[in-house]
Amino acid sequence: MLLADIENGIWCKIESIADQDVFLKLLDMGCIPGEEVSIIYRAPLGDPIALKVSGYTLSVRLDEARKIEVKKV
Amino acid sequence: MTRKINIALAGNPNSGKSTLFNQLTGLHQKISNYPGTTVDVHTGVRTWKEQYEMHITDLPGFYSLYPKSEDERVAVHEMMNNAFERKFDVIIYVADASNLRRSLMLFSQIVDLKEPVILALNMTDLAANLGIQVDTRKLEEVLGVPVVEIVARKGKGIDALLDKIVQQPREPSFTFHPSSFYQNSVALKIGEISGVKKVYTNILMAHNAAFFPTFNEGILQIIQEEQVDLIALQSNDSLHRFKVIDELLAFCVKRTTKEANADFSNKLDKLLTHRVWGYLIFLIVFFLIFQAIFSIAAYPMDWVEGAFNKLIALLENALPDNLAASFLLDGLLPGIQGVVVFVPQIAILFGLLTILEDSGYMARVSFIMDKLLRKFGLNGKSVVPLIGGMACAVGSIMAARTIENRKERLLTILVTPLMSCSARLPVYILLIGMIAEPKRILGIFNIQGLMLFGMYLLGVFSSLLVAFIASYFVKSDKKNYFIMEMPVYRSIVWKNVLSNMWNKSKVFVLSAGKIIVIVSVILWMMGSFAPGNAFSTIEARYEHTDMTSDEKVSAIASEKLEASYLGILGKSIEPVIRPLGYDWKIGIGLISSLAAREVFVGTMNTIYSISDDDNTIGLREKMQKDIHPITGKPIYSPLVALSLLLFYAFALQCVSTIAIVKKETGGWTWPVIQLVLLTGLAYFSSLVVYQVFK
Repeated sequence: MLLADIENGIWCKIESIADQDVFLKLLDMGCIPGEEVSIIYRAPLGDPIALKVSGYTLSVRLDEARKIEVKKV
Repeated sequence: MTRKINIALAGNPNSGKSTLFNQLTGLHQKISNYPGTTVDVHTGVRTWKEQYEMHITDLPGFYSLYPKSEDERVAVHEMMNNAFERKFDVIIYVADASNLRRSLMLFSQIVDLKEPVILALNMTDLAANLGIQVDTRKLEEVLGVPVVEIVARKGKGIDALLDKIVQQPREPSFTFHPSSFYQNSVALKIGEISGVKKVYTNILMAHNAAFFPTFNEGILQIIQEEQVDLIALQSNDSLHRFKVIDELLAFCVKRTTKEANADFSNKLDKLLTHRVWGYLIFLIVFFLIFQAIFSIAAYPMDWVEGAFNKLIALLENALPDNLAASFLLDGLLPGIQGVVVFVPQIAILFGLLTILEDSGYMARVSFIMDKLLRKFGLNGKSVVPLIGGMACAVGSIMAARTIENRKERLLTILVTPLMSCSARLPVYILLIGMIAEPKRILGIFNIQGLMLFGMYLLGVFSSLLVAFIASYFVKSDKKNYFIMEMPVYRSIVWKNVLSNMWNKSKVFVLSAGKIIVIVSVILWMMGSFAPGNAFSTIEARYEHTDMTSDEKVSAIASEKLEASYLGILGKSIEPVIRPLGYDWKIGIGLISSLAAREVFVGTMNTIYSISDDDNTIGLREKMQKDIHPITGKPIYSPLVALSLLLFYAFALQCVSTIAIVKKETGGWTWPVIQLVLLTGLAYFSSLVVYQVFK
């Protein structure tokens, strides 16, 4: 499943990140394969979204969330 | 004798690095442009125990030694370059203790550079509230790095940190990178040409070859020979680091679950990003900011004006009536005044922005505005420059720095001057008065007020539209993502607010100020000199008239302006502006507006020989009575006023803006593009309106 399609508050594990630039940036931010992540809230227009990951809050656009393959835990 | 110690402050954005820097140095700071970039590097000095003089450099915040933006490149270059020329004796790494896992990522990379480093665990109070307890003794032992707990906002632990610096830490003993790096053929080969014995530095040189012109070619050759997959190398490195960090954290950090604080933060997030309340709060906050820049800044601006007027009046009496005095009183001093008068607005804008940024609110604003503004090629963070542009584009363009994406930042800078700034207001009021009577419609709305509101709306819509169109032409960064940390909410550190107000004002005065003064002086020269003896002829003509002396002075001033080089220039551009409905007098007004838009009103006063500068109504009446010598019709028909109104709405007639855009984009390309584009837009729209409705 793609992170973009996951409902708020559901915890998932990151499987892979498709886009290379996005992957490398998320790598620095500690949002890496194997890490658990959950969408905690969304911007009023549904995009961007706020993630809980590695103990802090990270905001990404849906475009980026569509590159992140996840599995529900 | 004092010992000099050079220190670099490194850390993630939001780690409290700048707060620590302000605590350490107070206002003894300097900002300089990092050579060849638009990145500011802050330096400051702190003496300690009367024996040590610490020269501290606050690097831009960054997330890793694999840089992704210009800011990050500067920081990484400084870190890596230390292996070649020892610029820093000690690196202080500031880590957010409440967010240790991510903070330690960059720290682990810096440890591997094998430069003397101290780990400053910041926000330990916040971490304690979250139930995070770090065993610093254990951490120190494992890493071979001094660890100090600090709370930068409260000034806690600073003395202990200074003591550790004085003890001059050694190179860290712990290594985070994969052990395979020791046998890595690329690292070995680069080590041969660089002469550096540090494995990780050599690995990073493969990634950042461009930093090292001397080795650049050699490195690229090695990369090609070895056919190394740099991306795989980087991800291998980073993933390994997180594993090591997780083990380290399991060993040195105790967690008791106390989520009370996080809960509050979440609730506030939900409110501030709510579809109704979020936007409502945003509107209120920015309305207040707008009010503050507009009205609170008006007082200090009045003081500046008053002080300069007094000074000029004082000197006027003291100095002889000659050219040198006129240069000082009419050229140089008003030019300097034109710079100083901006300072209150810039200081207030940056004071408020620091509050919004430090409190964590700004990230939420970017979050809720991003989708909306993205449609126009802008970014959530463009909100600040755009709204600030309603007061003054100059400070607002400086505020566009927070936008990491190059394209979105350039577009923001490009369109910010379209927002109706406060310097346009006097011009708008004069012109709107010529178009509409102050009547009311529907009983409550004043037509003039509505038109003025319309001009602000025009500013908003035109800036979005231009951004939208220009977004198809501006080259995009390869990396086009919006991945942003949402910092936790924090109370305000007033030291940060004050130092930012001070620093930004200083940057403005020192960089844009020069150009503004020069242009003011040039305009003065053009207005005070005329070819041949034109001026003395005018004076001679008025010698034997029976006008009152006031009338005489303003009549002479008016004729002199017409005869001056400025007047000649105004007349020579008349053919160009005639299709818009303007005559040479407006031409002079347009040219002199370059110093600041509101100068238009003052220039018109001189041309129509109005002695009282604040007399807008008198000026309006005189302008409306002015009859065109050929057509016999009034020059300032409502249509001409409308055409002029549009010209002022769009044209980039502000030297200060041009100067600051040059500073912020690092060259003349963008200010020139902007000048041509916006002034072209102004010309075209005025032309269309005038020609269609004539």
